[in-house]
Amino acid sequence: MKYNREIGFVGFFLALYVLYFSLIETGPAKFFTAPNAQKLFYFHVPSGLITYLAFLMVVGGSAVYLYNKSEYADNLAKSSAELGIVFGFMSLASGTFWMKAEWGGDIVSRFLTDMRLASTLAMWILYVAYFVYRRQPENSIVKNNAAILGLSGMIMVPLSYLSSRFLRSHHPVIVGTEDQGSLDPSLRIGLYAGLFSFLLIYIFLFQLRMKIENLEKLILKNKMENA
Amino acid sequence: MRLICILVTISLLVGSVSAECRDKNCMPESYEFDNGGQFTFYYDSVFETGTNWFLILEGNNMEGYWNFIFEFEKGLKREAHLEDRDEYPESQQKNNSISFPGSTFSEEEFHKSLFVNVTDENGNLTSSFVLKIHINKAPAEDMIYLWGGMTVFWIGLGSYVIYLSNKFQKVNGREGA
Repeated sequence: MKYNREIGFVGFFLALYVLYFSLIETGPAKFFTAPNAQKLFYFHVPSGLITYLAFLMVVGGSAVYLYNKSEYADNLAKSSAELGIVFGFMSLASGTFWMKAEWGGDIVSRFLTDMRLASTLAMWILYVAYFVYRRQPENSIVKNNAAILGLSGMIMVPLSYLSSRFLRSHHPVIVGTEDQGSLDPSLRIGLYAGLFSFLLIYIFLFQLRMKIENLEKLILKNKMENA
Repeated sequence: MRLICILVTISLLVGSVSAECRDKNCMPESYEFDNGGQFTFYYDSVFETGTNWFLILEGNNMEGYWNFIFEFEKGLKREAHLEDRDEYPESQQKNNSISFPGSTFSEEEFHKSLFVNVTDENGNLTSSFVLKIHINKAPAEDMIYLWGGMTVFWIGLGSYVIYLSNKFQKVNGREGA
């Protein structure tokens, strides 16, 4: 992409603005047990949503690869899986800190009993497995198996996203509910700015990762031709 | 990496530890004066918000009844008395204490005046002075979770950018070769 570096800069500086906005501009949140830890909201929710986006891209890329063996689709799935793991780690870890401050109690039992936490962790571990599997030398069998594994996100992503609505979970639901409209304007500004900044950072890193992947494949191809 | 794991684990496991000491030996400050006896106040000049604040009164070689009124501002006061009646030996030490709940103040303030008025049993003012108290607001307990959570984002993104950068340099090197 032509303006990828600029996208990265804008995303990074927007993230810094969200940091300033959440820590300095807004005071401690009302109606929360942990009013300071609530500020994690401005990064936790965007990173969670970007994780879903990244894993859905893996699903899409895997499906296209299985359909027409497109190398581009395979690269897309592989690159996006890495980013999904990074953003998923950020979402899960920050959520754990926030959960400990707001809800208290034992972290392990929370992850075992709350369906949102359990399904999100399971989804993340699944794509860690995908990433580990793809670290071996690539051939058509590896790519096929990886694509089948990548497709499992078709179940895992909706399961994680919808678990707090339909299964046993303490995790709040905001996006797509009546609560979204009643969000305090400051929360909304911070949330949308955070989401936009992480989206730009995702696009930047994704393009960079795709470029590296293409270069690696080009080198491999040249080596094979020279051999 | 191991250090980060240890720090994260400690931050998650560490609980809040707070203790309120009501013994005069724990009180870093004392104030002595004579007023028909030797009186001493034992107190901490730092009032931690959220923690009860105590002041211990001690009277030696006193005689009669003395009332002590401690007032931060109008309506925010406590009273305590020390008395020595005939049935008690004069040399005996008398003690009493007052306390303000930790919720009395919510904001930080230094050199806050605590007005102390001493009256006799007829209500006549016999002595008056001011103690300077510093109201300290301790950092919120959930701040450590906020910093922990915020650190995760920058460590996550930073590590991945370093990973990509190393990979890019490696690929570029191989391409050049």
